[in-house]
This record gives sequence, C-alpha cells and structure tokens, in this order.
Amino acid sequence: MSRMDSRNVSVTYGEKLVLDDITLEVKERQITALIGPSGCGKSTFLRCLNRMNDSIKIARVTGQILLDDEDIYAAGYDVVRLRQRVGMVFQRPNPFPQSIYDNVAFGPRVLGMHRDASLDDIVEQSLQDVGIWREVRDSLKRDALTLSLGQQQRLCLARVIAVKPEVILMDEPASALDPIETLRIEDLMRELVDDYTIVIVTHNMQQAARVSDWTAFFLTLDGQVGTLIEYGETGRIFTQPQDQRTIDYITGRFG
Amino acid sequence: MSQQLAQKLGFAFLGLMSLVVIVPILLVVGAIIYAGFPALSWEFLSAMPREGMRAGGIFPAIVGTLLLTLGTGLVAIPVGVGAAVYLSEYARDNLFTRAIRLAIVNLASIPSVVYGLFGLGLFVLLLQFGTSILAGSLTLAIMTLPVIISTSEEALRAVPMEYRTVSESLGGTHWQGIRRIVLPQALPGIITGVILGLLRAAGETAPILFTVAAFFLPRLPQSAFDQTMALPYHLYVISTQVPGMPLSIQHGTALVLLAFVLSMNLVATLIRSYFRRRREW
Repeated sequence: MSRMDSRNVSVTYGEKLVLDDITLEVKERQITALIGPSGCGKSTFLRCLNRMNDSIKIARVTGQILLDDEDIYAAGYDVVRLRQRVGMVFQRPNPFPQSIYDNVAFGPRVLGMHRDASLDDIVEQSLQDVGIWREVRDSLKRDALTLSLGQQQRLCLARVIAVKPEVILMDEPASALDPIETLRIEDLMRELVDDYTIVIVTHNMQQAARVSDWTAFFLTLDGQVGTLIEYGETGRIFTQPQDQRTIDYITGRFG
Repeated sequence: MSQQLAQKLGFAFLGLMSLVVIVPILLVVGAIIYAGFPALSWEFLSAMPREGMRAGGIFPAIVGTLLLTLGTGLVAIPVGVGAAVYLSEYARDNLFTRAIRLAIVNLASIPSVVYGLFGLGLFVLLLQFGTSILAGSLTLAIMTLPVIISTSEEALRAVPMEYRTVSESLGGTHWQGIRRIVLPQALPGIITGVILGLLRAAGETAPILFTVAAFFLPRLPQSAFDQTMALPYHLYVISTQVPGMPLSIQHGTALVLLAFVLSMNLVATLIRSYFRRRREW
C-alpha cells in the first residue's frame, strides 16, 4: 500500500531544472532507499516530501505529492501539521544545545501534545523506541551534546518519534557515524519499520541493500538534471536491474 | 638562532604594547581608589548633600543614576532586542533593511552631546516632558540602541542556521524556533550587549545635561516627570562649578561611579560565564 505518492514532481532553482518528473510511490511500513551519485537530486526529492525546500526562496516544486490523497503542495495545506506527520533526521547529528529531555520534548511542546499525554511518558517511550533509554535515563538533564555521535543521532530520531509521525525521512543518517554505530542505526530502522514508513537517502549501496525494501536509483542526466532511472523492490534492483545505467552504478562502474 | 631572537624580541614588543594598554587603566583606577576611598562612609552614600554640596553625601545622585539606568533599560532592551530579532530572523535583505543597518551604524558614531540636544528638542520641549527622568531615560535609550541592536543581532546570527531548520522540521513555527532555541542560545551575547549599552548610558554626562540633570537638588525625585541629580553630571559640577570643593568628595564621587560601572561589568561577565559553564562538558 502506498503511503506517499509522488506524481510528476519537478524542482527548479530559479531558472535551473534540478529534478525532473519524479513519479514513485512510498510504500507503507516499508523502507524506501534513494540511491545515486552526489548531486543526483535524491536529497532534494527527500526534502520535497515534507516541504523542507520551502525555506529556499528560489526553489519551486511542480507536480503533486499525495499524503492520504491530499496534495501536500496544495494551496493552504497545513505545513506545520505535515512536518509533524512526516519527520526528518539529518545527515549530521544535530541535537539542540539543551538537555536530552528538552530535545525529545521539543516537538511535543511546540505542538501542544503534552496536554494529552504526560511529557515524561512521551520522552521515556521515545528514548526506549530508539534504544538509548537505559543509557541516558539517569542523566536526562545532561547536555545532549555530551553524548557520542551515534547516541546523538539516535536522540535526533527519538526527537522525531516523539511527535508521533507517520513517515520518517532520513538524509544519510549514518554518514557521520563509525561502522558499529551505523549498524545500530540500521538495526533500529528495521525495528522501527514495523510502525513507521521510512525513506532514506544513502550514498552507501551496501546500506541500501541491507536495510531497504524498495530502492529508487537517481542519476543526473546531461550533468544537470536529476531524474529517477529505476525504482523497484530492493532485491530485484540489486540482482536484476533493468536499466544499463543501474547495472553500471551498482556494479561500481561509476559513482 | 637569529630567528629565535627575532621571535623573542617580537613577543617582548607585543607584551610591552599590552602593558601600555593595561598600565593607564590600573593607574587611573588605583589613583581614584587611593584618593576616593577615605571619603567613603555610610553618610557619604546615604545622606543628602549639604553646605552647597561641600559636605554631606551624594545619595540623590546615586539614586538618580540608578533610576536613569533602569529607565533606559526599560525602553532600550525591548526595542533594541526586538529590532535585532527582526533584522536577524525576519527581515529580507533589501534596500530598506540595508538602510536601517546603515542608520544603526551611523547612530553609534553620533557624539553624545548631539543626543542631548536632540532629547532637549524632542522630549523636553516638543513632547513637553520637561526636564525629567522620562526625557533623560528616552534620550539615553536612543543613544544606547545601536550598541544593543548590533551586539544582539550578532549574537543571534552566531546561532547555527541548522537549529531553525530542525525546529521547523519538528513542526515548530518560525517564532517557536526563535523563542525556544535561538534566543536562549543568543542570550549571553544579548545580555553582554545590553549591559555594555547601559554602562555607557550610566556614565554619560552630555545626554542628561539638558534633559534631566539637576545641578543641586537635595531630595529624591518624586515621579518620572521630576528632575534628578546623577553621578556623572554631579561629578562634573563639583569638579568645575563649585569653588572650595574638598578634593576627597570629588574623588569619592568618582569612585562610586566607577564602582557602579565596574560592578555592572562584573555582573555581565558572571552572567556570561554562567551560561558558558552550563554549556561545557
């Protein structure tokens, strides 16, 4: 079942077309990996899914992205609500320079969620979901920046989970982490996908092969415009790619 | 060897230059403390001046300076910090905001006596506040604004852009990101700017000369529309306008003003290091 549905999405920066005609379905409670060489538009596309490109003044998005049959780019669409439903984890761990507790509580506080549930419970549950509750439960008041990078990234994930999103976008979430921390994040993604729909951008093909259910291969055409070359189940993309360019990329002939 | 020597000579020279900066400050502070300390007494700090200011205390001048600093802060802090938030977080980079920035830079370089005359024209005469604490505070506030705005804006801009993005990605509005993340991060810098600005206001003579300061007023001000004595102007008066003034009273007054300014400076430093220590690991 499709959770988010991208239809003919193109992005221009000023006059320049950077992403051309992307149509793909993000499947519910599955992990979709966006792979491709640098500058192929995979991160730009990821950011379209929760309208993080809005703050780039020259960026313009055409086409439709449907969430529950509603176009998130329709006039008057509630962006704050969208960001709550479609959360995001960034490349570099970026906890706020505040306590661990305040980091996780940030979203629930700004969204007023703590009126319904106890903030303490939300914080505990979120930290448990990302598997660092045991490590930090006695030091919730500690500055989040004192944690290791891997813990910081899992804290950032907890911060997203705390607002109870439906979709989690991850922009190369492990690229700043060492191999062991990377594996922990990947294991975590496999656990979280029981409850969440996940879209991950990654440079790392092995990671895409290990962790994802679906893979979309992006490539820059004419050295300028990012486009979707092939999209399908991860097993098929990596064993029986249809497009010669996909074959070249996954066999390491370029990129 | 010769390079080593050159380096040593270089460092010695640089050290000497820093000494040249520090020595006059130490001499001035030392001299004022040495000459002024004997004048200090409970009576000096808490009594009204007597015998044409040649005896008694400087209580009304102390209270006046405190009130003026307070009044200046009440006006300049919300306006200045608000303007800084607007310029840093909301304003687009266009001709209008560039003009505002240019104006702020230029305001900072206007001689203080011009502010005094401006305050006289606008607040005392045109708006008919009279020579009053209100007029003086407003004049000092305008003079202080450029410092507060530019240091606060700098502190806000030093907060990484990323935090604003993350806040938005969690469903926070632009303002929620500013209030919950950006402002707390920038607070130490803002407080420093505010105190530096208020320090300047507390020590200025020219802006209060025409707008609020009383030559000799041996009582406390009754309202915001009252005149008041103030330490900088009082110091000027007893140093130049009153014949036969005991030197110790002059030095004592200078010491009180200096102590007030330095202790505010110390508070600024403590606040900053408190916030910084909270961030350390």
